[in-house]
Formats: sequence, structure tokens, C-alpha cells
Amino acid sequence: MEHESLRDKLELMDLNQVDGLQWDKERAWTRLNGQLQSTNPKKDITWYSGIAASLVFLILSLSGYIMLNHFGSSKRDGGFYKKQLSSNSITIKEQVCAEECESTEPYNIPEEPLKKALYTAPVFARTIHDTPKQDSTVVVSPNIAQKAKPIYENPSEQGVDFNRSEVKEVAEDIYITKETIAERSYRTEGILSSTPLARKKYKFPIKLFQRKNKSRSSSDKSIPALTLFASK
Amino acid sequence: MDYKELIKRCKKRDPEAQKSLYNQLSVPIYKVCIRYFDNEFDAEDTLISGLYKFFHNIDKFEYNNEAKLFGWVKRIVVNEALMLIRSRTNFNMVGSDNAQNMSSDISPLGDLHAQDLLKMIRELPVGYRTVFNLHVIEGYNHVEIGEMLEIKTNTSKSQLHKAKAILKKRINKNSQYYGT
Repeated sequence: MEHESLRDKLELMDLNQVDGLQWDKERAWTRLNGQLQSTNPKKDITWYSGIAASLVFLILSLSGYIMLNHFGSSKRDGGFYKKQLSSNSITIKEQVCAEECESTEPYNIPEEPLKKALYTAPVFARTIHDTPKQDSTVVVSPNIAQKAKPIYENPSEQGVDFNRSEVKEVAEDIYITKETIAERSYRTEGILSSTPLARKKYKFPIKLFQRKNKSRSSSDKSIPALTLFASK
Repeated sequence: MDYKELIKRCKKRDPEAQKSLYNQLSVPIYKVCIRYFDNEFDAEDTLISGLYKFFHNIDKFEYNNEAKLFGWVKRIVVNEALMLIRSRTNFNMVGSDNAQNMSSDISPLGDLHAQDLLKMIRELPVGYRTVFNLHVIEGYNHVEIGEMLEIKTNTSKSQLHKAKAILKKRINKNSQYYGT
């Protein structure tokens, strides 16, 4: 058989005599060993290590839950939302009620600082309807906008550093306000900000800034509340 | 070398046993890898990925004899080589013309030194080299090669024929050069 003789010849060949071949066996072992050791189970790991890890995870989860409930809770009372945000430099006390919001005047809060604030807020970024895209529409109540306005306009005077946690808290507050709006069946911020009739009717809320991509806003048929308003 | 004991220890993920077994397997298996590639890097990558799979799945291996051990590892490594080659090469680009009536006489290859033979094989285009290795060296038939490389039987035959033609041409050229 031809293949056997040729194979034998190649198998008996001395690698050192192959021209230009510089194979480093030890280097290859180092690479292989690295892969093997990364997947080899550790000898000293036993079944109770898994249980210990699970217990630690459980304790951490419970601690986190308790901390959140204790320090981050918000109280809602019949549509009123009350929250106190405090930090070393500023304190914002806010009370928001949809029915009490009279103003339809947009507040000219600069777009970039607000965006910066919002995008630095993990809570907001995680939960907002269409985030964290640059063209997201953000709606807040006039009350909170009014409170937020000086902060965004003159952050340094208000002692606000956009990299600091206060801004995140403000952004979180804006988000919660949006949720309050949603609870009152105004549905999504997209509709409320893009439908003049709705704005006029409910006088609430107002936009801080609009989507840059107008075509997207006007052609987005996927928002269920759009149909809702149209049918009314 | 007690391979049975080594494998038993490797199944317990003993690093020293893994190193010892690597020392035994690496050179002969590398010789297989180097036949399939024209560069050392791909050969070494194939060796490492093949041996990694071997050590990773060693629990499934029952040791009977040395030949079975080497055969098993070799099959894993050849599969690894083919996977790498297949990911880069379209074997069907080569036509299957005149595949049926081809001479298979490559007896002059038997007269070559192993190093020259290896050099000639490695200099072949990848498609020819792969089919040549599988058919002439490993002993697979064209139906098996077709399945392994996901190509038609005739394509395999055609590639083998062209590989042999190139090798013959080179052997003749070398013979003339050396005046033999």
C-alpha cells in the first residue's frame, strides 16, 4: 500500500532535519497548559464551596434589597408623589401632581447638560422607554422642570457637578415623574410630546427637548398610545 | 512508558501526567499537523486545539493499546486541521474535469527523502494538499474525503490528480537538476 510506506516515512522523519522548521515544543506546551489549567477543576473545590457561594450571594441580595427599600423608597399617595433628594451640596424637595400642572410653556433647558445628566444616570438609562439613544424624547412635569432648570442652566452655581451623584438623582427624579405620568394613562412620553392636541387637552407635560430624528418620531406607528389618541 | 497509568492520572486532571503525555504525543502528532499546512503557526494551533480536545474529553477514552491512543489523538487532530482548512478554503472552486481517467502513479515519491517529500506536500495548494494527505497518506477513499470536506467525490479525485501532477512535475524537475 502506497499510503502506508509514505506515511511511515513521514512519521519516522526527524523534525530537526526539516529545513526552516523551528517548532518550539515547550512553547506549545505552555499554550496548551494555559488552556488546560483554565478548565481543570481545582482540587480543593468541593461541593460545599458552591453552597457557600450561594449563601454569600443570597446575603448580598438581601442586603441590597433592604438598603434599596430603606434608603431609596418613594411614597405615593393618591397620585401625589413626594420625594426628597439630598446630597452634600443641594437639596431638592419636590411635589408633583398632574392636575396641578397648569403651565404649557416649554422650559428652555439646555439640551446638552440635560442629556449629559440623563446619560450619567444608570437607573434612567436602564428604564427609559427608548434609551440610551441620543434622540430620546424626555418629558418631565413643569414643576420638576422648574426645579431642575437652574441646576441645568448654572450647574456650578448650584454646586452641581455633572459627574457627581446629585445629577443622577435629578435624572432619577425625572424618570419617576415620567412614571407618574404613565400611571395617569397619558401613556408614553412620545405621544404626549408629539401631539399638540394632547398637550393642550391635558396641559401636561412639556418637553425639555425633542427627538432630533423627526421622521422617526412621526412615523413610529409602533407606539400603542398613538392609536389610542387617534381613536379618541 | 505506562500509558494506561498516565491516562488514568490525566482523567483526574493531574498536570504532571498531562505534561508527560504531551511529551509523548506532541512530536508524532505535530508531524501530522505540519503535513496539512504550509506554515508552522497553523500547525501548532491545530496541535494545541486537538490536544486540548483530547485532554478535555479523555474521560471518554478507554485505553487498550498504544496504537489506539495515537490513532484516537491523530483523528482528533486531523479533524481540527480540516475544520481550520474548511473555514478558509472553498474546495468546490476546483473543477472535477477528467476525474475518472487519471493516472495515480506517484511511485517516484517513495524514492524521496522524508524531508523532501514533506516539503513538496507542504508546497502544494491547500486543496490539493488536503486531499493528497487524506487519500495518499491517511488512506481515506474519495467517498470518505467527500464527506469530510463536504465536496463531491469527483472533486476529490480531480484535486488528487492535480496534486499528483504537480508532484510529478517537481520530481522530474529535481531529477533533471541533479542529473539523475
